[in-house]
Amino acid sequence: MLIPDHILEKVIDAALSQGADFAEVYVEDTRKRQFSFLDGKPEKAISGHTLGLGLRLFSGTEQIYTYTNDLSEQGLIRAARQASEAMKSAHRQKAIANEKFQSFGSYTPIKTTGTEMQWNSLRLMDETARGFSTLVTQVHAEVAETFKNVQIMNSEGLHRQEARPYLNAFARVFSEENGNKEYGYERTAFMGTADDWHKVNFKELAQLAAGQSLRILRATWAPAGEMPVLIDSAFGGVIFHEACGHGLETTSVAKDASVFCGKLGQKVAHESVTAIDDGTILNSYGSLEIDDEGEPTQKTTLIEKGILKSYIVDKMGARKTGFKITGSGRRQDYRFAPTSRMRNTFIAAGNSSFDEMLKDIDFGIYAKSLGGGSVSPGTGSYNFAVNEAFIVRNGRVEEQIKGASLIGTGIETLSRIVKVGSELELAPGTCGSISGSIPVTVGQPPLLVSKLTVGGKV
Amino acid sequence: MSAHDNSVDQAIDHLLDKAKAQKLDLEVLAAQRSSTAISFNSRKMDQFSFSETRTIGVRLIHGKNEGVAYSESLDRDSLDNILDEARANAKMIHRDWIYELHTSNQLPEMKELFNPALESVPMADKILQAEKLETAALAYDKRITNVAYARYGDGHQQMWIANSKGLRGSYKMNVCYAYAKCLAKDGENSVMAGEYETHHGFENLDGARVAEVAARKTLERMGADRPSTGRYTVVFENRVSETLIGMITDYFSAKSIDDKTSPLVGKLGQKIFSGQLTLTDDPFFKHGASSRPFDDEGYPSQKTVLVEEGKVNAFLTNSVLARKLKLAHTASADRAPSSDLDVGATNVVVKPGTASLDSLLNADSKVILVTDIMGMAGFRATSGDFSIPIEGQLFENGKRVRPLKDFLMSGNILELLRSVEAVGNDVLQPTGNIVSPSVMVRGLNIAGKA
Repeated sequence: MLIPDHILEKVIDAALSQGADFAEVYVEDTRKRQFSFLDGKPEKAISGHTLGLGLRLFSGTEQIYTYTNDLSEQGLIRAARQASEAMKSAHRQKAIANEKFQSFGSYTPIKTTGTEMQWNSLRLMDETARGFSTLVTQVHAEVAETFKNVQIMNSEGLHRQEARPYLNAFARVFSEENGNKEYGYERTAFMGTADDWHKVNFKELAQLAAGQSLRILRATWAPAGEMPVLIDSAFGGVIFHEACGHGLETTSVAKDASVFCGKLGQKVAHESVTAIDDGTILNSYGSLEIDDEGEPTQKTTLIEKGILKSYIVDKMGARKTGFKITGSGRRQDYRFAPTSRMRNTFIAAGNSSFDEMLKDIDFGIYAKSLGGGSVSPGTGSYNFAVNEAFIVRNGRVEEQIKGASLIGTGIETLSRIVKVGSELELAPGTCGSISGSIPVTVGQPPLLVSKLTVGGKV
Repeated sequence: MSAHDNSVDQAIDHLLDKAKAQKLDLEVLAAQRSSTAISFNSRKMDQFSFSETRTIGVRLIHGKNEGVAYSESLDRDSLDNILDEARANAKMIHRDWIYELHTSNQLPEMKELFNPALESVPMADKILQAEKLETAALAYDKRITNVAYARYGDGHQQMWIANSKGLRGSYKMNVCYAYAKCLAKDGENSVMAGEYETHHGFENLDGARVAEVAARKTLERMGADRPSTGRYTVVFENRVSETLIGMITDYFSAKSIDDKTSPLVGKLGQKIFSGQLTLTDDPFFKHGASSRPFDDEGYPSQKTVLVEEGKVNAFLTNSVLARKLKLAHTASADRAPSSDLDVGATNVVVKPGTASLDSLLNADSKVILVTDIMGMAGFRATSGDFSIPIEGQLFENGKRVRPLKDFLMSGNILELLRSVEAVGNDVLQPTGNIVSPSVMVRGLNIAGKA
């Protein structure tokens, strides 16, 4: 219990006093520890405590949001009155008994002692990367533990809690040759506590980052123009996340600011494409027991064999569009009102083999490791960066290239995903949008896009 | 918590008292923020938000050891807890140097950062401002079918610094903004564009102008197609040039020099940029988003010329890195209550040239004016290599021919800034911390149609 029920009930009463038809409080208590290693020694040890409350009121489709970290009773009632005054009758149903959601087993709060394992892991990443090659000039490694407790109560009688522990680790390895500098970056992130660090292979993480750094250092520029692209599994799924996922969020759909508006039940992708947004995968980085509106999370089929089946729907999105809630209301923290957001989003496995897809390419690109991306849902134009790619000639993977960012527009690209491989893999990422930066995973099997624009040199 | 309470000052007093009793060297940073944001959509207010938050952080020095902890709760237990955590963290971090806390009993002020009148603007006027943004954009042209964002907002922030050597100071700032982003149907497709403006005075905010510019820019995107792949003469519009300069600002940080991650390692005094380029870190720049009276260690702000006619003139330092690297101390300490000591630029200002935008666009028979960068994921800061999506307008013989979309530019940011041939005279009032006119380069790699 973060804040006693009777106080939250008073806050909701005060919030509804001037005519809102719905009120919700979101209380967050997050503790975080962060340790990093740089230049072969401990660089950073930071501990933090985030504690605040977000209060949301609806009047029809109008939304009032306020947040504060003054959690005194007077402070909260004052915030609720201010929010309420910003609106023009509703009655609160009796809150049901506090339903405790201790997801993913039971957890002990974040530890403040015992950091030897963390420092040993950081030192191992540093030493592994430096030992990988004499060209390695710098290693930055970090581990972070976050323990987030959320408590949600609303005027419809919902009152739920969830504890969400996260682990994050990365290695960034810099290398230099003939005056050229590059870096490689490898990350892992999942739901777990300090007791779960043993699940991470720190040595492999450092080796992967170091290997990538050296390969990019020696790569030549990508060709520029339009060509077929074979996108590898795991983080390759960023293509669906950007090309389509954001456009299915009711945040854009409700404003008629998405190219996927009005397309439900229609063919929006090649028949080989089935796409799923699943919040229920055990310990996956984008998983939740309840969303940030207190709704149980779901597994939502977005596209089935090319046909658009569902949008990604939060509470306000449901009010505006009439679609059913999908348990997708998410926010970075109490500073943000929740909106419709992705969880673990992936293209389901198909039946093409990697070699079969490769054979279809006369001249094109094999994108092995992807970077971040972005999209303008209104126009459907999206882009993402490729960290490691190779030229494909006559069905064979040849020299490595760099600087191959890829662009396209959502529906056009979905229609050009002509083959989908059989081995699905997921990878963690951080998704930024109007309700802040949230943990997600993206994923796909390897897939073949018949034509994309590649940004390289002429 | 309200604008007039003294809970942050009391928390600082408590921490300093504890530090004194325990003979600890301590630096405290605190930030208190409040904000309002109002959005209209479909001629209704669809979002109204306001907030009040604060964070307090301590950096504890013990000989060569240093530890950081922060909290958003100011109760005594939380404050005592962060002291304990900072002490535990300090045991793990052993530096090569002994840190000296800055001592000064008189910190400079910069009263112009805060406009008291903005604090008393009636809520009804703010709502009207947001409504006007949408109404004016829709009224501009009936082809504007939707204003995806019509938003008014304001923010107020107060920063405190104090240390166990007696240093103590605070400053506050406020700002308001208007933002509009319009959508128009263009055949099967949609086009979008936006405009943003910030001011210290509510009365200076011109919502009608912001709405009209957003609407006009949106209509100018209609009928866009893709350029052919090739090399082009390119003019980066002022706001886009600001983004380009933003790509290199961290290169001047003595921290990234010391970490060996900056491409400018070993380049001090060398001419590696175009002679047309002079860049200054200016913490006093009027309306700059990062203006401040003193840095995050409490040293008075100062101007630093970073690049003088193409030559790398200085790196930005805090007190520790200035000593360690034997560089001039530029008072560029950058730290938030929740982070450890770093270095950062304040406002980075490009010295304007003499050329008008029109003359830049008429420099060659065919010129692409880049009006937007659509994503920065394809920029690799360590090497400077970039491959990033852009939008723009094609000019032929100085005349706008048609809008361009769905294409990329590729190259290296250091090479690009070395090949700048002309700097424009068209500087706008800043909306962020980088200020630049338009700039022109030739031979830039563009990837579009086949």
